[in-house]
Amino acid sequence: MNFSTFNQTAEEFEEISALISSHLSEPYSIYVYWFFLNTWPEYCITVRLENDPKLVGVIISKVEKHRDVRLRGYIGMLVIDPVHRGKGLASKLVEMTIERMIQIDNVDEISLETEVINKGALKLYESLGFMRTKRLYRYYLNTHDAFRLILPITEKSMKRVAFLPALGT
Amino acid sequence: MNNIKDGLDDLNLNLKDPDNYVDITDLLFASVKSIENHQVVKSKYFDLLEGTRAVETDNIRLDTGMLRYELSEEELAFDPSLPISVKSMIAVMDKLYTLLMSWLNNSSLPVTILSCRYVQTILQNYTASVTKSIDICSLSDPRIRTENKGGNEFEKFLSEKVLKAFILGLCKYVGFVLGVGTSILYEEEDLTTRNMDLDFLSQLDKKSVLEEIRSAIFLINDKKDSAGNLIDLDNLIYRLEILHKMNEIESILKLSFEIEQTTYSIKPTIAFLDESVYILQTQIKSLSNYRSYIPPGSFSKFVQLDLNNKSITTELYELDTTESFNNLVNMFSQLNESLLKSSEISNYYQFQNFIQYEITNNMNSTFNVFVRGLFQLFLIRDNKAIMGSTRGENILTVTQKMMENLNTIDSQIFDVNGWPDLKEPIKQDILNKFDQLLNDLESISYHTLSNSTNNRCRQRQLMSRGLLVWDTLQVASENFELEVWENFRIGDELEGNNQPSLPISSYIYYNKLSLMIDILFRGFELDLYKIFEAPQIYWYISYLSQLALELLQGRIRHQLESKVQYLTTGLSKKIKKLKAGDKKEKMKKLQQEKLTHVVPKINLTIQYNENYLSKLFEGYFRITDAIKIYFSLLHFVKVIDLLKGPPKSKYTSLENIYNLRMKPFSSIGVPSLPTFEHYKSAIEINETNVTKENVRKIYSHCLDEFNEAKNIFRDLLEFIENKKLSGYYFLDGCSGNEEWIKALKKTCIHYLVEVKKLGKMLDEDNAALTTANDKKKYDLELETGFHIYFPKITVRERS
Repeated sequence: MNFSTFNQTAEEFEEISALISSHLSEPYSIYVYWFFLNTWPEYCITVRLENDPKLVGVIISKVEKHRDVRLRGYIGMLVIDPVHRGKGLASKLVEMTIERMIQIDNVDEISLETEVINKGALKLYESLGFMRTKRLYRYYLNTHDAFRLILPITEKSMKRVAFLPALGT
Repeated sequence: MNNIKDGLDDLNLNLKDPDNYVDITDLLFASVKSIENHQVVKSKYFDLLEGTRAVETDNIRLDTGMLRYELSEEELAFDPSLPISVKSMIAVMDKLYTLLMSWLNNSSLPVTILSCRYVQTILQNYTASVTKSIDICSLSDPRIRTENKGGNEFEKFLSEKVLKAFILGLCKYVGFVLGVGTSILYEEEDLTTRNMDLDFLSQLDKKSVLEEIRSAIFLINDKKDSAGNLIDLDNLIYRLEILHKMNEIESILKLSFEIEQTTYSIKPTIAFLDESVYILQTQIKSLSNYRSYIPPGSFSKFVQLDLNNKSITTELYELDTTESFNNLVNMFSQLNESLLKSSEISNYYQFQNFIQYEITNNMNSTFNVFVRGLFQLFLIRDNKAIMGSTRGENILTVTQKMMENLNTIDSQIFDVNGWPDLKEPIKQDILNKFDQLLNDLESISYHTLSNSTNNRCRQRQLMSRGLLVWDTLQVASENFELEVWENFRIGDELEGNNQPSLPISSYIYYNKLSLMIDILFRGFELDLYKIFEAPQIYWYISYLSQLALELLQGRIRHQLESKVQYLTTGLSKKIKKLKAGDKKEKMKKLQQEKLTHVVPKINLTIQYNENYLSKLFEGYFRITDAIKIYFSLLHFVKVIDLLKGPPKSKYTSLENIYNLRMKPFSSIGVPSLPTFEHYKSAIEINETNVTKENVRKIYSHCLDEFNEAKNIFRDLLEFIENKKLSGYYFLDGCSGNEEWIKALKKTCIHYLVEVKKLGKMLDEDNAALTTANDKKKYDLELETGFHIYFPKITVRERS
């Protein structure tokens, strides 16, 4: 398998958005893809087969200030072509993202949301140390609740916002 | 770029009216040229959330304009003004009731009620009109002209009079729900209020809408002899009656109850709620029987194509008709029950228990969202009056009553006239500080009371936020009470130790501890904890419960007993020392009054604290301690490793997860948060100490603790069930408290069985004590338990 970051070409953009929109239940506008891929290309990692250039998986993330006191990574989308599931690709993409976020931005924590009934996603993220911090009532259009998961990296992640200094001070 | 141009050409805009349309094509492309590659251009008000729902032109899933290619001719050209048969009329009504319940089940108006062309047309006509009168609300869409409308006179009457009345009533009701939603509920989480810029009859008088419905019912009855199937006509009337009653619901916001006053029966006033349940259950029975008669094209995505739509194309949403019917019945019955019980509350113990066990704890997904919001508006009115009290009961007075119910009754600090003589500026300064403290207490009470009708997820988030306030208030109140005691001897003295009583800060501390315990427990209810976190949480709860118990049985009991001692003995001694005269007589009279009215109340409080609150916290302490020991036992036999966190946690550690989990409590001053090291030493897992004897000892201790907890909950249950003892504190007919304790007792029994099962496994497996699970022979399972705060934790032999 070949893992690489988004090459910022229109062709790969098309491939990525096509893969995601065909496998995620909620449709996203072109804006959402552009927003992530143009602002944080370094956090879009793709996976392709060794002998076939076809895109089989992608993870899209971002890193932003959280309430001006922490640097928070956020995993927005993760899709693996069903044919290639069960090979550890999702786990690998998440681990690569975590490592890049720590290396490039020295993030304090990484967060994401997932459906409470998505046992597979929960198992994957929780095995890596993500913790369920909140249950979000009827978060999804299908009326399912979501868990907000957080992976604590630095001490800042474990302190209440009110007791942290603003970033850069 | 060329593709886009071609796409625009395809749209074939016909600019027949150059005065009203301006061709911006050149301007658009000139602007686009200036955008560099890989640059996102957006307004600062356009965030990611907006982006996820943004309309994207030319994308079939995201461009509502493209719906024109999806909708059938029947849907596009549907004429809502066509005459309608009785059966079709009932079918439309039933579908709308179903869609109403679907909307209240976390959907949105465009994909439910507004998907009905009749509704859309009436609202469009109303919204566009200047007069906002009822006459303007017609079912005629000026864009659609049907040459020959067909139908007989009766069907025309049904369309023009009955269908219109029904749609008006429904829209008025939806308008009211929208009002409740925007003022109380959480947008999208509880209710989605997106209304396609349609005005839901906001300026139309409710009375005239009700009159329309009544008039429709009258006319149907009048025409019964000459038209249609009588059963169908009766069914039509039942559905109109339900709608009429739904529109009467708003009147409950005018009801006024007085706690601690003679109550009157509100049954006749809210009889319409009970009648609705009766009509639904005995007459209507189902919302699916007429379904095949829905006029083709009358429900579609047309509204998403036709009106101002800030959202992407969304599929229509409809709950199952049986579920909708049940939800409709529940809406009336839940409201009826909540109001009836509220009206019977006769003191503030009952009030608190009612709010906690009948309202707060019941706000799960089966409780109707509209009733949740409405009950909140009923409970706390705009002027902060509680349940519409006209005798001055508001958040502040309720706060003081709740304080008295725990420990502040007859506290001298509240009796400003009883303060020592002080110079005016000093007195004023103290009064200002005291007022500030009471205002802060009022605010946190408001926060707590208004949180009682939120969904359970939201409740926990707001509780966590409120914790900071309670903590700050505890410091402020302690400082204030100590300052006025030390400098001016304002406040009561604890009997026997010359220490200040500090009733306000004790009340705050008690509430803070209770809140911390509840926040922690609720994580189990919301399935937030992994199994390796469970022992950490139960251990922390056992510690906090012990503190709450000590507070209740220590300082708070001392405060109350000191007060009784003073009013009986202390005051008598004081009176004895006084010379005969007016002052002495006044004091005697005062004492008599206190002995008659205050001392019995204090005794009631002591009994409640002793027999109920203390027992509850003692029970919590025992059961959580027992579970902690159970986990230690499981650790010893290697079913779980309490010091091992997530399997692949190379990015974080169990200690980090502990600290993140305990973050809401990390800033609390008293009690300070125990560290992870404290936790490790508390669970006593010294690996070198694993002997058969030690494990047996822990096993016996675990059984003892669960047995003790079971006995405490048994006693508690007996107290609650003994109406002579507990009737004053718990509202008759409310079973929330009882069910709560029963479930706790069942939990103890379940764990006793589990621990014994583990013991048996160990007995049968001689090697078990040190190596039982070296080969991963056993595993742990977390399942729904008997109580929402206690999942079942079961040892299973791996298959």
